Amino acid sequence: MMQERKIRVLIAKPGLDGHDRGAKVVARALRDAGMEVIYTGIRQTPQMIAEAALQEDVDVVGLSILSGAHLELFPRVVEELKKRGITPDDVLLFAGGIIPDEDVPALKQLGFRAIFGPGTPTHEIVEYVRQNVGERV
Amino acid sequence: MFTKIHHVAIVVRSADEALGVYRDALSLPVTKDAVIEDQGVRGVLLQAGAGEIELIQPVRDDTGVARFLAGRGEGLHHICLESTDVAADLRAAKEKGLALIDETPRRGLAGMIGFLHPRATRGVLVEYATPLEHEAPAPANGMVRNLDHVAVAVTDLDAGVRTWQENFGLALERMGEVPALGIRQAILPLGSAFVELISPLTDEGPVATFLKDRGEGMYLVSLAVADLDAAVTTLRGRGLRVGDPTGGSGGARLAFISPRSTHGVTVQLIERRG
Repeated sequence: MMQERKIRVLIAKPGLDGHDRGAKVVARALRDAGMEVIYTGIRQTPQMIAEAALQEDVDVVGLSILSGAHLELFPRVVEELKKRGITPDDVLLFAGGIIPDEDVPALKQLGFRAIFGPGTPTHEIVEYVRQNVGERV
Repeated sequence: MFTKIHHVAIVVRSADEALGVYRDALSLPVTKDAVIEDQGVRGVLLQAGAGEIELIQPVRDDTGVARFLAGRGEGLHHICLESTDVAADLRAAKEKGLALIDETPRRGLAGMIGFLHPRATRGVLVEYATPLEHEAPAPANGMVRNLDHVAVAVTDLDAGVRTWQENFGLALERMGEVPALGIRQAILPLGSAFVELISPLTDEGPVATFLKDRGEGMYLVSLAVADLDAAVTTLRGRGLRVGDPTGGSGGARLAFISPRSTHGVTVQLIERRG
């Protein structure tokens, strides 16, 4: 029988803010839960994130942002993914960081299925990813 | 003595499906397609300039290839070095104390062949092959010019270089850091292609993750194309997930095809100057 493929996750930090403690904590928690996690490091452009998602063939892309530029950067990430043939139907997109409630509908509209604010227990994110990642053929 | 990379092999669930990508989308001409009964596989060779890509599909469940597929899924399986005398090179490997799967040559798709055990080459399964007859190369296709290189991820670059030098007599052309990619690399030419060994500079990033999750082994295949922009447009039009072209070292330009589109293999397209 085919062994179940591990869930592959890209954790990325778009834009200029240099604080990645939260992103690293989430990356570690997902890895500890048995997933393959690629963390891109800080200051990634939307192109770099989309390239990494493509080359690594991930099931999940999690973006972490603290700078407030999410409404500017997240649509560009989605656009770069689509350009490469990856739609929000193909990957599970989620976001974390400092994102005001009033911005959530716009991000959901873009295809971000969940937004995790500061203080979210990591097991909640692990469970969310496990339950929502698409079935892979 | 080794003269070139004869082929790079990819294990697939269905050769017919994979041909949709490698023959139809990438336009690589098929040179051989046969079931090899004693190995329990169907092998298809496709020409990529001076080298070839082999698709291997298990046709029985009780074979190493079937177990590889069950355990690791589709993806890069082995690299085959063309030898001027496979029997002599297998003997030489044995004298060096390398672990062999085949002590004497047997008939395979690529001619007379023999396999080394992957532990002899830091996680890379290596085949030697001496073709039985010289075949005229298939006509060049409009997209892919050559098998450019194979990248192999290693934890210790110096040790990796020694392995490839000592096992196969490859020469080290250069070694250095590529900070933009977060790697150290070593280039060992073989014929018109080369083996690139890569090791991560930090404990994060794709290569570090690859090593943590899968261990040392083949990381990607690079195909030289005549016109990168045209290839990217064509392949996207054929439904493949392809990244945008970016600058590489030495004036080369690169683009990547997602492993999702290529049966588990990261394929790099490279356009070289001149």
